[in-house]
Amino acid sequence: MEQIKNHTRLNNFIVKNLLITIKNLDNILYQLRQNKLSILGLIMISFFVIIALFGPYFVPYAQDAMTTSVENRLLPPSSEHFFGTDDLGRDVFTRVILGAGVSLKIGIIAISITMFIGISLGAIAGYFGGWIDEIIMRITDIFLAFPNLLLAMAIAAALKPGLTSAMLAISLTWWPWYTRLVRGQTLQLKNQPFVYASKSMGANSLYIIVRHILPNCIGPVIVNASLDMGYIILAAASLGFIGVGAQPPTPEWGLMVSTGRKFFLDSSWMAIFPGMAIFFTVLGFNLLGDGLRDIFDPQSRLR
Amino acid sequence: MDKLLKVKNLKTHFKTRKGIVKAVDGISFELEKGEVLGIAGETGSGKSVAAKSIMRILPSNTAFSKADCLELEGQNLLELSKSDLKNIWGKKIAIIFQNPFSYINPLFSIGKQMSDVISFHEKINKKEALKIASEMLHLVGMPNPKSILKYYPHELSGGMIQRVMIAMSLSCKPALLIADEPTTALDVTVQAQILKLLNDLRDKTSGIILITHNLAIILEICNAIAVMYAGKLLEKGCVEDVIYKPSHPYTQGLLQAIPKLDGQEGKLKYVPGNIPSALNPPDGCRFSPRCPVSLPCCNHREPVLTEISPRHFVACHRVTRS
Amino acid sequence: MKYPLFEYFLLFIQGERMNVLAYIRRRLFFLILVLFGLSIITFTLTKIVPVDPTVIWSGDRASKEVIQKIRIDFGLDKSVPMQYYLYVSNLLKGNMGKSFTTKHFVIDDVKQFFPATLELVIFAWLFALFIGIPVGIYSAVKSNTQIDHIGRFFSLSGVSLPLFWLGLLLQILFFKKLGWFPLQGRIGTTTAIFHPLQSITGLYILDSLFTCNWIALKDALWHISLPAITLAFSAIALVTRMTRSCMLEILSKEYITMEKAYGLPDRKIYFVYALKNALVPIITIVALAIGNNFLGAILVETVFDWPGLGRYAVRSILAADFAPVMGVTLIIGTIYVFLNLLVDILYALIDPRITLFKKTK
Repeated sequence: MEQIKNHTRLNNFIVKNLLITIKNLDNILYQLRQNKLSILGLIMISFFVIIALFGPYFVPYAQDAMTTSVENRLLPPSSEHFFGTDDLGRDVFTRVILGAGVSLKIGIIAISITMFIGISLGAIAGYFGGWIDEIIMRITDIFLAFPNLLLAMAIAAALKPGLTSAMLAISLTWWPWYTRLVRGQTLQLKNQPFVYASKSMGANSLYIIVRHILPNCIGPVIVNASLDMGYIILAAASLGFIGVGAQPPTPEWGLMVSTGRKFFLDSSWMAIFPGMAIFFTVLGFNLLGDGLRDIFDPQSRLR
Repeated sequence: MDKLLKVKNLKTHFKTRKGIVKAVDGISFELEKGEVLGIAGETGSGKSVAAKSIMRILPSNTAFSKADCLELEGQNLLELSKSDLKNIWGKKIAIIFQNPFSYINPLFSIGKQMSDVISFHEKINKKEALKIASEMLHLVGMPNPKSILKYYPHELSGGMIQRVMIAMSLSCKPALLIADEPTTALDVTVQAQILKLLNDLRDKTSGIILITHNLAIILEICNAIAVMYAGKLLEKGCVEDVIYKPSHPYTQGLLQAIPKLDGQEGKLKYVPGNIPSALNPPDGCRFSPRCPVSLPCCNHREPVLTEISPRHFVACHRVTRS
Repeated sequence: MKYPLFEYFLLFIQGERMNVLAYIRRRLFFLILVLFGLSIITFTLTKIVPVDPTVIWSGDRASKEVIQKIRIDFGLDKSVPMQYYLYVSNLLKGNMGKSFTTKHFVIDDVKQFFPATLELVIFAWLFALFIGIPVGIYSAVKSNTQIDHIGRFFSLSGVSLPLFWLGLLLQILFFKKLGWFPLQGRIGTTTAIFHPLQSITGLYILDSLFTCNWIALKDALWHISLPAITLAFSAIALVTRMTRSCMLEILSKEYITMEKAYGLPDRKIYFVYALKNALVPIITIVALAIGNNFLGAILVETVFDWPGLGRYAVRSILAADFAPVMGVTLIIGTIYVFLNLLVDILYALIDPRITLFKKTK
């Protein structure tokens, strides 16, 4: 009889939470609409995502992704080549559009790995406590003690230079923030009545963590992730610029600026346009993230 | 006799996303020199807003105050510019709030905060300001005033901080002291001490307005009382008249709700219902939805404050009819 | 009374002795733990590097004996824990290996390049703090007005800018189009030859001031302008944003209302009272930002050919020379750790509620 009562209480709790979330969504959208800069950010991001996903089908010079045509090298911007051509004769406009896809890919994969590591470690540390918590927290502190992008550079340098190294390097330096975040949330949540109710029905730890604790942590994690997306794309571009990220001939924006740098005194278009693309993309994410952060977590001061 | 404070038809509205909140909707009262006025009312009745409106410290981009008359010692407070207001705040009107710890800056020592206020208003240097500060601390009953000056707020207890706040407010000898629920956050023994302190220091200012929801406190130290409800005054007069001969049904209900030690056993009497929304106040008397003895006209026509005996005003149709 | 060694060790850690040194000693204990962690990370990285150092150092046609000798020199014939022990003991002696691009010891290269980076970072951050904090305060005070919205947009843009792109843009604008500033480097070659700068601190600006070498001073300032502005851009944007949000939070606190109700002048309230309250979170963020800015410094040094640690590290990376990269990472990491310790001490100095030591009333 007790178990059935607990079960219904649990279900009611879930249903109530769902309704609250839906009502909140309405409120969130309303608040978001108030903040014009966030709307601008949302538009910019949508633009970026659409270009990244569908751009490759509409580029004027699709073959330029892989081939070169040396006779066309270093042409200034014109009606045939909106952004000019680079040192290997490839259309810069095409490459910038293709670069959007590359950046999106990097961003999503890097943030997914980061969230996976961060959330798992954070939930485990928070839920089980004790020496598991201590160890995970010490490791987190050590990683946090490093200036994070420097470590990313070192890791990317140590691994084989390439896109995957860059993504891995970024994830390996970004996860500590998420661990801390999720651990804090877990500590608060693990003493809630619905967790006890679940335990009393014989649920094991994994079930509780996945079904009850994680869904409730998702909010701040999503907000942080959306804020971070921009910075991750920026980090990946910076690593590409240094030379430890994307390698030629991958059309990655940072790499394009780096190659463009050799010619920038005379053919500055090679370096300017990819850089502008980075700027606008990151700005879009930051605008939206700022607005989201104002709504969800006005006390948050990080970044 | 020259009145200390004249308030006539004070209204304060807040502009919010959902509409205009009429927190204070036309209150009038006068304060004589040497008088202690208690403004009583439930949470949400608008009494704190009224106090802040008199002092004009509400943010000007959201709050709009207007009145037919708002004069302190003959000076019209409504016409003052921002810099003029800076001169009267602390010097002519002072205010102390409910939660002492929130209202004092935790990173600066007591001495620094007190001496800054004193030296700004009295235009003296820091050393003399500290001397005055230490005298004020002694006046409010702090042990070891000189060493207290070096302490930080987190090293003192709530009661002591409230004394410090009282000392700070009175240090420039303001004409009017407003105390907004000064004892609500303190425990009962400390409450009694602070009330006694306020009573003892009455000669340091020309008048005190005490805002509280606790009628017992008003009985302790006030001479006059005004009962506020939903932004309007329902009854006002001398404490003896209002407390011992309450005329308005709301006042009667409030007094009935005070548990008495020597009373009979039984269920606690209370005034049922809730304060009406300040966005859309009801027509007619604001209290009529909860009034046990309301008349049909109470829902349409708003009662005005009428004098039923010398200096005792009530806003109630039933009372004025009889 | 003589404590047994172990109890003394525990007391040492717990900081039972009531003085500031005890606190610092306790923090240093954890700091050393963190530094060990750092060294483990860098050691692991050196091990997973796909390039075999013996091949690099021995060249293409080295004989077996030479290769074997190099292996023994590097300690590669020993077990991994032993290698780690050797690694750490070398580090403690200050030996971070040798760079095969410059053929110097890494520590010597670091000593040579460090002042340039230091000068750049200090210059940029002076800009950042002196501009960022007042603008942030102003933005908070006038929040939600047109000025504030514009300011927020600018600071968001500043944080979104890729520093390497900004540097390039500034070079195109100020060097190529306008010719106002030099393209790169730290000091002009003519100045270096005809008005050589005596090196006292390694910071050109200070050295030229001390030796009254005005031509060198002007040249050094001229050269540092563009790199410093570039690096400062994101720093200013970040500091402005952080100051604004911290100040906003403080300004909504009740004690600020109270201070206003006492009639205290606005400027005093904002710049003395509110600022001190906002300082703790601001310092935290500034420390974090300086950490993030290290990569920015690397990018700026690369773009402007500034002879600092960043350029050294990037050149080594491109040449697959890993000892310098690890060395630079370790050095900067260690500095960052000590910076955070400094920040903790500053907290205790600013906020009297945080006690370094137990006070007796």
